[in-house]
Amino acid sequence: MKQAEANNRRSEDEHDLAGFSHGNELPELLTLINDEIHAGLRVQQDDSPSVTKSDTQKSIGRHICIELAGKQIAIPLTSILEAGTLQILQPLPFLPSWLIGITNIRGEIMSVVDLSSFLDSNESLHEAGQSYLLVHNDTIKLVITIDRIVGTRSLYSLAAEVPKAGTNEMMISDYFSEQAVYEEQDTVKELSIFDLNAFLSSDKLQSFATI
Amino acid sequence: MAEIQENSIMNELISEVETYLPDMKSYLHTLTQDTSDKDVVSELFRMTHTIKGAASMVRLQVLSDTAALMEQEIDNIMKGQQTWSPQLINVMTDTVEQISVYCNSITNGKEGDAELYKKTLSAFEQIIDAPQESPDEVNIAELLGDDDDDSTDDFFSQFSDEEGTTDLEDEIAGFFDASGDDDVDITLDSSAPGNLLPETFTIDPELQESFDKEAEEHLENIGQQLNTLSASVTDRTSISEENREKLHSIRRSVHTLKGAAAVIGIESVADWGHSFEDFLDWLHDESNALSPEIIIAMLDGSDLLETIADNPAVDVNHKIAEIKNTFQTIIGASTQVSNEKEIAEVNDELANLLNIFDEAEEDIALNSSSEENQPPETFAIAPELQESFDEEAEEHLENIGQQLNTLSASVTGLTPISEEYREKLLSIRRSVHTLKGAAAVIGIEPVADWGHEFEDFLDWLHDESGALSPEIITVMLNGTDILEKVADTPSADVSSSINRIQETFKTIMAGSTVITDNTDSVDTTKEQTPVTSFTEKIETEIEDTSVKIAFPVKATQPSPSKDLNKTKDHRKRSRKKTLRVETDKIDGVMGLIGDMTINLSGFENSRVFMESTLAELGTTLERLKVIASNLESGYELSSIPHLGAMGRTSQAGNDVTEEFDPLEMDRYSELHILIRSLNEAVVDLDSIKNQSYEVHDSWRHDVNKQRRVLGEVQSTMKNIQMTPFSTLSNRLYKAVRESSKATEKAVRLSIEGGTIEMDSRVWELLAAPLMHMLRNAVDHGIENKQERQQTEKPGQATITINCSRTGSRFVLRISDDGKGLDHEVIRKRAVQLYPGTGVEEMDNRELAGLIFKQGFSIKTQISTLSGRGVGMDVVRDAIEQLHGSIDVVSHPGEGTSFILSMPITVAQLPVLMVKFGEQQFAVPMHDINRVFRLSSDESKQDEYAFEDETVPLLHPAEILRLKNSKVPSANITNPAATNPLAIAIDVGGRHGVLVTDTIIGKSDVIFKNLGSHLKNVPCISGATILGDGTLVPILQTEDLFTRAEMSSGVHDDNAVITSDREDRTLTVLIVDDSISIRKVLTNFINDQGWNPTTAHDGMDAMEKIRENKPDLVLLDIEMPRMNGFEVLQSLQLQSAYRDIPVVMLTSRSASKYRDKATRLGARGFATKPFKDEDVISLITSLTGKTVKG
Repeated sequence: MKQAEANNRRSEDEHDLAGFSHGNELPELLTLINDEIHAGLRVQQDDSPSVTKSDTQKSIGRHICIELAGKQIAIPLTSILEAGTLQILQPLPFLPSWLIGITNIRGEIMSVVDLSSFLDSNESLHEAGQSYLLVHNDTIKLVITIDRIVGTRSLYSLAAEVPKAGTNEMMISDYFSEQAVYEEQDTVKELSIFDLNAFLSSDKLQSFATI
Repeated sequence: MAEIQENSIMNELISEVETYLPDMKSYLHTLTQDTSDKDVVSELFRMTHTIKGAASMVRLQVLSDTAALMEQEIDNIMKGQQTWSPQLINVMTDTVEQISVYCNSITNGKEGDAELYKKTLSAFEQIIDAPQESPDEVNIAELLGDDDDDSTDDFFSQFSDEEGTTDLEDEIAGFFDASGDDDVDITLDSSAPGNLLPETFTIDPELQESFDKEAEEHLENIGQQLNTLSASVTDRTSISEENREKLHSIRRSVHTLKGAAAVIGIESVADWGHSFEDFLDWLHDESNALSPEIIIAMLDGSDLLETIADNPAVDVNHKIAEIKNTFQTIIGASTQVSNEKEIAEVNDELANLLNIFDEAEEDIALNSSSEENQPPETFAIAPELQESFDEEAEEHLENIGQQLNTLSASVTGLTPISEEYREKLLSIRRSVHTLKGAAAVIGIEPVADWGHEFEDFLDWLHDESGALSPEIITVMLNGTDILEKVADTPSADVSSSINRIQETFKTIMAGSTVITDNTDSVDTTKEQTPVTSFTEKIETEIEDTSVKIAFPVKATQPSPSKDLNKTKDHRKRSRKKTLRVETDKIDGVMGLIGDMTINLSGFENSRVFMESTLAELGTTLERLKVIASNLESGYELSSIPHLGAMGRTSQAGNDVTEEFDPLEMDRYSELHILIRSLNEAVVDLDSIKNQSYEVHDSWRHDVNKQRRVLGEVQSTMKNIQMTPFSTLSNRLYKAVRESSKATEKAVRLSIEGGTIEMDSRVWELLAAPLMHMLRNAVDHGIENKQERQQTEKPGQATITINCSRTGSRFVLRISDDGKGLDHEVIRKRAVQLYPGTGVEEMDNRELAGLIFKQGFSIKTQISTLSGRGVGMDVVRDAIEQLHGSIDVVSHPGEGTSFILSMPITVAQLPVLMVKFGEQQFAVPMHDINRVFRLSSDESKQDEYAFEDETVPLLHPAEILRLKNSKVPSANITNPAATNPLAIAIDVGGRHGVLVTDTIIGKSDVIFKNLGSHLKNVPCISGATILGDGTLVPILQTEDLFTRAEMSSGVHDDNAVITSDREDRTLTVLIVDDSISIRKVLTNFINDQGWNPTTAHDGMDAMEKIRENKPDLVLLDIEMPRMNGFEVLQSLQLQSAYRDIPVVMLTSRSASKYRDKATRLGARGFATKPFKDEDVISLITSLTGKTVKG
C-alpha cells in the first residue's frame, strides 16, 4: 500500500525499477524505456524545442540512469538507440578484457564493451542476460553492458565541474562531462553524466576501429 | 655503397612525394569549391609538412624549403591569420605542379630546378602584395558565383586594372614560364580550357553528380568503341560501315558529353569536347580511312576528355595543344595524300551525287506527297544508341517539366522575367538544345526539328522577351508535350499540334514587343491586354477541339509508312525503363534478405524441433494405446462378475440386471469407466496429433515455398549486382597504353570472356590490383624491342586477360608473352632482403611466391611504373579480401601467368564449420586443401609431413588462447574413430595443418564484418549468423601462422626473460607517415645493431605496440588518423605501456611542441634532420643499451 502511494507521488514521466519489484519486471521497464527512446527520437526529428523548467537550473533533458560499480550515472537518452538484455555474446580472441565480444542485434553484428571494466580495468564476469545499452555516434555503433538499468529521469545541470584528481581518476573522469541533479521524494540527488562522445571517440576504443 | 643507399632513399622520397601530388591537386581543387572543409585543409597541410620533412632528411633543401613555404601559408590559414583566395589556390596548385616537375627531373637523373624556392617565394609574395578579400569574401564559390562567363576575367582584371599593380596573372604565369623547363607550359589564361579557375565553382552538387554519372557512361562507350577499333585497325584501312557506326557512336558520346558539360557550365570539358568533336566530324564525314595513328590520337583525345571531366581544374593546356596539333597533322596528311587523280575521282563522285540530289529534289518538288512517306535513312538507329537517347531524353524532359512546373506555380499573371526565372528559362533552353542535338546526331529528325523550333521560341523568350505569363507557360508546356511525344514515338503524327503551337509562338512573339518595351514600367497591368488576347486565342485554339484547322503539313515532317510505324512501335515497345539506384541501397536490401534467410532458418529449426516433438508424441501415444488396450483386455475381463469380485458385489446388491448373464449384458464398474475414459483420451490425443501433423506439414510447405521465393529474390538481387568484366576493360586498356608509352614497348592487351559477370563490388576491388599487374607486366615482364627481336618474338607483345567461370568461382588469368620470371634474380634479391631465411634452397615455385611479399622488388631503380617494392603484396591482399587466391606460373622466355580465383559474390562464403576447444569457428573453404585424420603421435608433433613437404602443425585452440584449449588427442578405447582431425590449409602459398577434434560440416554462410567498431581482430576476418541467431567467427587462417610464430616466440622469451634480457636486441618502433623517413630511420637503427620496426601512423603504432611491445618509440607528431600527441596520451593512459620511453622526432622545433610532448610523457625530443650521435645518445640513455658492433 505504501509502495502504491509512493508510486503515486512519483512523476508520471519517471520510469525506474523502484516502481517494480526487481527481477521479472525488467522486461516491462525496458519496453517503457525503449518506447521513450523512440518517442524521444521522433521529438528530436521534429525539432521540438527543449524544455526549460527553471531559471537557475537548466533542464538537460531525459537521461537513462544506470548503476555501475554501485554508483549511479546518467547517459542522455538521445544517444541511446535501444536498451535490452544481452541474449547472445560471442567472445573473440586477442581482445582486452573490457571488449568482451560481439553480439547480434537483429542481424547486425556489434562489439560489446563492458563499461565497468573499460573504466576501471577490472575484469568481471560476463554472461547472457546482462543489461545492455545500444549506443552510437557518427561512425561507431556498439553495445555497452552495465550492471543495472535504474530508469529514466529528467535531469537538471548543476553548475559544478566534475572533480579531477589523481592520474587514474583523471582518466576515468575524462569520460564524465558534468554533474546533474534530480529530485526524489523532496530530496535533491546528484549524479554524474557519462560523456558518451568522449567514450566513443576515445583512443582506447578507437584503436580497434581502424584496419 | 653509402651513395647507392642515399640515391635509393632519394628515389624513395621522390616516389613518395609523387604519390602525394595527385591528392594535393585534388584537395586544392576541392578548396576552389569549398574552403570550409577542415579535413581537406588538414590533409593538405600534413602532406606538405611531410614533403618538407622528408626532403630535408634526404638533403633536398630546395624542395623542403618550397614545401615549407606552402606549409606556412596553410598553417596561417588554419590559425585564422589568413584566408583562402583564388590566387592563393592558384599559386599552390602551380607550386604542386612545379614540385612534380622537380621530382621528374630528379627521377630522370637531372638536377631539380635550383630556383624553385625563390620562384615560389616570389609567387606567394605577389599574393601578399595583391589586394586581399575581406573575410566575408572567403568563399570562392560565392566570389565566383556569378554565372557570368567572364567572372574569372573580371576577377583577374581587378589586378590589371589597378594602376601600379602588376598583373598577377601574367606574373604568376611568367614566373613559372621562366623556370626554363620546356616540358612545362603553365598558363593562367582564364579563357583557356583547363585554366585553374573554371566556371565550375557554382555547380549544384546534384547536377555535378548527374554529370559525373553521364560522363562515366559516355566515356565508357567511347573507350569501348575505340578499343574495338584499336583491335581491328592494324594498318591504314578504309572506313567500313561497321567502323563508321563506331565512329558515329563515339561522336555522339562526345557530343552529348560536350552538351551536358556546357549545360551545367563545365567549360573546359565543353571546349575540349568541341575540339574533339570537330576532329570526329571530319573523320566521320570527310576522311575515308582509319589508321592506328588516328586511333591513338582519338584515344589520347578520349583520355584527355576523361581527365578534364574528372577534374576540370587540371591544367591540360599543353596536352590540348599537343593533341590538336596531332589532329591537324592527321587532317593535313590526309589532304596531302590526295593526288590529282583522286581529286578528279572525288569530283566525279560528287558530281554524280549532286545529280542524284538534283534529281531527288525534282522528285520531291513533283511528288512531295509520296516523298513524305519515305522513311528517312536515319531511322536505322542502333538499339544501344536508342536506349542511350531514351535515357537522356527522359532526364532532359524531366528537367524541362520541373522548371515549367515551378514557373507555372509562381507565374500567376504578367510577370517581368526575374533573374531566377531567367535561370529557369536558360535551363529549359539548354535541355531542349541538348535533346535536339542528340536527336540530330542519331537521326531522330522529328525531335531535332521540333526541338529546333521550340528552341527558337525559348531563345526569343530568354533573350528578348521581358515578361512571362501563365499563357506563355502553357504554350511551353504544350511544346514540351510534343517534344516528349516525338521523343517517345518519332512516328507520331503531331503536325497539327505543331502547326497550332507555331502559330501561337508567332502570335506571342509578335505581340510581346509592347510588353518588352514596357517592362520597366511599374504598372504592367496595361500591357496585359494584348498578351491576354493572344493567350485567349491560344486557349481557344488548343482547347476547342471542335475546330479543325487545316494547317499545311511541313514537307520535312516525316509521315512514315505503315511498315516504318511498325518498326518504330516495336522499338517503342522494346524500350526498357531503367532506374539508377545507389549500390548502398542494394546492399541494404541484400542485408535484409540475408536477415530474412536467417529468420527463416530459425523458423526451420523450430519446425524441425516440432517435428521431432510430434514424432515423440506419436511414439508416446502408441505406447498409451497399448496400455489402454492391455487395461481393456486384461482388467476389464477380470472384472466380469462371475469371474471376479465384481460378480459377488452385484449378487449382494440385488441387481435388476441379475437375470442377465454378464456376457449377455455389460456391467460397468468405476474401473470400466476409467478404462473407457483413458481410451477416449487416447483417441482424442490421436486426433490432436494428426491435426498437429497436418499443421506441421502445412508449415513445412510454407517454409519451403518461402525458401524458394527468398532464394529467387536473393538470386535476382545478386543478378542486379552483377556487371560484366568489360566494365573494367577501358581502365585496363588505358593502363597498358600508358605503360607502353612510358616504357616505349609495343604492347597490346587482349581481353577474352569480357562478358563474364560478377558482383560489381568485385570489379571495383579488382580494378586497382589488375591495373597494377598490367603495369608490372609491361615494365617487368615484357622485353624491350631489341630483346624481342633477338628471341624472334613478334615486335608487339601481347598481354591476355582470360575470364572464365567454374561453378561458384571465377578465374582470371593474366598472361604475357614476355621473358618470364627470372628465378635466379629473385633469389639473389631475396638473399639481400631476407638473409638467413633459406632462400638459397627454395625451388622456383617458392621463389615465385616471394614476389607477393611486402617490400619485394627486383627493380633497384624506381620508375613511375614500378620498383617501389609495393604492389604485388597489395594485389594479394585485395584478392584475399575477396576470399580469393592468386597463383603464378612462369616459364623462362615464354612468359608469366597470374591465376586469380575467387568466389563470384562477395558476401556468400563456403566454409567448413569446426570446433577448436569448445568454440565453433568457420574456416573458409578456399583456404582448405584436404581434411584427414592424424595418428595420436602425429598430433603431438610441431610439424607434419604433408605431400612431400614438412608443414607446421597448428593448434588453433592454443594459438587463439581459447578456454578449455586442450590439444585434441586420440581416444584410448577406440583410437581409430577418434583420432584428431586435420585440416590442410594453403593460404597465400603458406601451407600448414590445423588440428581439431570436431568437424561439424560444410556450409554456405553470409559473410558479415564485425561491425562498425571492430576492424582488426587478429585471426578473425568476420563472422556469420546461424539460424538461431548465434554467431560464429570466421577464421583468418593466414594470421594463424603469424600468431603461431609469435606465440612460440613468446615462449622462448619467457624461458630466457631474466637471463637474456640485457643481451636482447633493442627493438625500436619508428612511427612516421613518410616512407622515406621510415626508411632512413630503419637504416639508421639497423646500423646501430638494433632491431627496427615501423608504423605508418598513430593507429598503426598502437596496433604494433599491442602486438609486440618495443623498447623505445621514435614518434613523429603530424600523422594521419592518430597524431603523435594522441599516441603519447594513449600510451600514458594504459599502464601496460606507460613505461615505454618515447622520443619525439619531428621537424617541429618550436618550444610549444616540445613542452606539449613533455607534458604528455615524452622522454626525449629531437628535430629533423637529426644528428645521428644526438639520437643515439638519447636512445642509449633512455634504454641503457649500447650500440652493437
